[in-house]
Amino acid sequence: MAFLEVKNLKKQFGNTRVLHGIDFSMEKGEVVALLGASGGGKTTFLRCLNFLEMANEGTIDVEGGFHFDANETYKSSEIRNMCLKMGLVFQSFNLFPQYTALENVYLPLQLRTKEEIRKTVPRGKARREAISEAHKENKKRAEALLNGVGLSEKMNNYPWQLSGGQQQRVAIARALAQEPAVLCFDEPTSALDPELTGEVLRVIKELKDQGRTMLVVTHEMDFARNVADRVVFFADGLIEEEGTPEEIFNNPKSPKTAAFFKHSTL
Amino acid sequence: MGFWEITAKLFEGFGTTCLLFILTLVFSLPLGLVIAFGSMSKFKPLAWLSRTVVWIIRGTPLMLQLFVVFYVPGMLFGLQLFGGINGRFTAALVAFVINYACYFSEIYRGGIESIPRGQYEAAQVLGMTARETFFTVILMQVVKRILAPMSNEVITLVKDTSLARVIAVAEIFFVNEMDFLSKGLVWPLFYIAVFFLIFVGALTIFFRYCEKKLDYYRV
Repeated sequence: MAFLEVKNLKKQFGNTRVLHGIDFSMEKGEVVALLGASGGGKTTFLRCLNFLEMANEGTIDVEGGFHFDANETYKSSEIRNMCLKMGLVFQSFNLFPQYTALENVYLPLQLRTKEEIRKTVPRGKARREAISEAHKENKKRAEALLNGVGLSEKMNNYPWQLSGGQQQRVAIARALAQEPAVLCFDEPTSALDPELTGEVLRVIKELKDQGRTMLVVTHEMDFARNVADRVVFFADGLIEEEGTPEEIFNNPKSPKTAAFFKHSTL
Repeated sequence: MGFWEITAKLFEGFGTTCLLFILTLVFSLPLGLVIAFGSMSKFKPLAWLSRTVVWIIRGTPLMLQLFVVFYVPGMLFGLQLFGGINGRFTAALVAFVINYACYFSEIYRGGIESIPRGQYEAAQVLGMTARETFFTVILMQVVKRILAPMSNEVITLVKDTSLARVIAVAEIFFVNEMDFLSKGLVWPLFYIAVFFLIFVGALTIFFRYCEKKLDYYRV
């Protein structure tokens, strides 16, 4: 079985069917670009993978992570644990405005370690010490992550003091902090001015070199062509076509894919 | 009656007004949040109930509510809830708390519902519980957003305390009217105006200070 394996994933909102049964898999360390016209179901697919939407049918498996079956019911704590195995970077960053860049990365981490400590260490001095120890380590980790996305200078700035590109890089560091098995990006550069998209795409490229497994919904064709190992083309709630960037861009087999590229390169 | 005598009397009323003001806030601020959660509940009967209560309280005069709280338990059920001077004060407090909690609840609800979906979604994908999301992510953003409407409501409360006189709570206005107006003295009225102006002025400065304090982030 593949590292991430999705089988027959279906989602509908009321009577509108958005995903008609997606079969998808990716290997560890692979970078996959999801392309397709708006309304094709790419974003809904990512949201289902991150449990922001609950799929109506199908299964999701992450090797060494979790097994999700839409026919079963899960407790909210189980859903949270599955969420932690997946990471998601949003189009609109969604940083927490009242916290600095460092706090944005560090706080979610600290909440999770606190929860772990509460389960294992009895109340009292030992617990307080464990929590303050974790605090130091988490802070260090958050600093290292922000360093990794080139923001060591901006750690103590609030989101409003950062450019869109910087905010998105903080959001990437924040998503990385939980060590997700698969990191998903939902059009990470669509809300950015053209001159700022480069710095974000560069970071994603560096993450690829570090061997991260990533699934990127994007409209940046050059990025998909140059960075992705594989391109998956969505149309009308189904995977219309997939293959290496060369195959898909140079030799699309499906007329829908060909039509899409024809319009998007204009 | 001399100036100092009158001043002493006024300060008695002033104390009652302040106490009513502070205690109303202490109880209605958290109660408002509870009602807001009720109104937003996914459990429909609860949401319906909360919204009906808010409708009734906002839809009837505060003065009427004061009468109802003070007289109805005794007249309908024979209960002696609010006997004596302290009882009158308690009755006024209960009416104010219910009334203001309802107004606050709508301000809270507006604030909470104005926080973008993305904040909740970001918290969810980061593995936060609903409680963690509310207290670490949402609350401070709500506080910042509702500060201005809250200051409005709190300032209104300062002046609404004078309504307590209808059930003979000796707040500043009550003390004043009883003793002086009948004797043809006008200046104590201006005295009261100054009192309210100073009170509201202090609150205005306080709220401005809070806004400044929260200036470090933008929502």
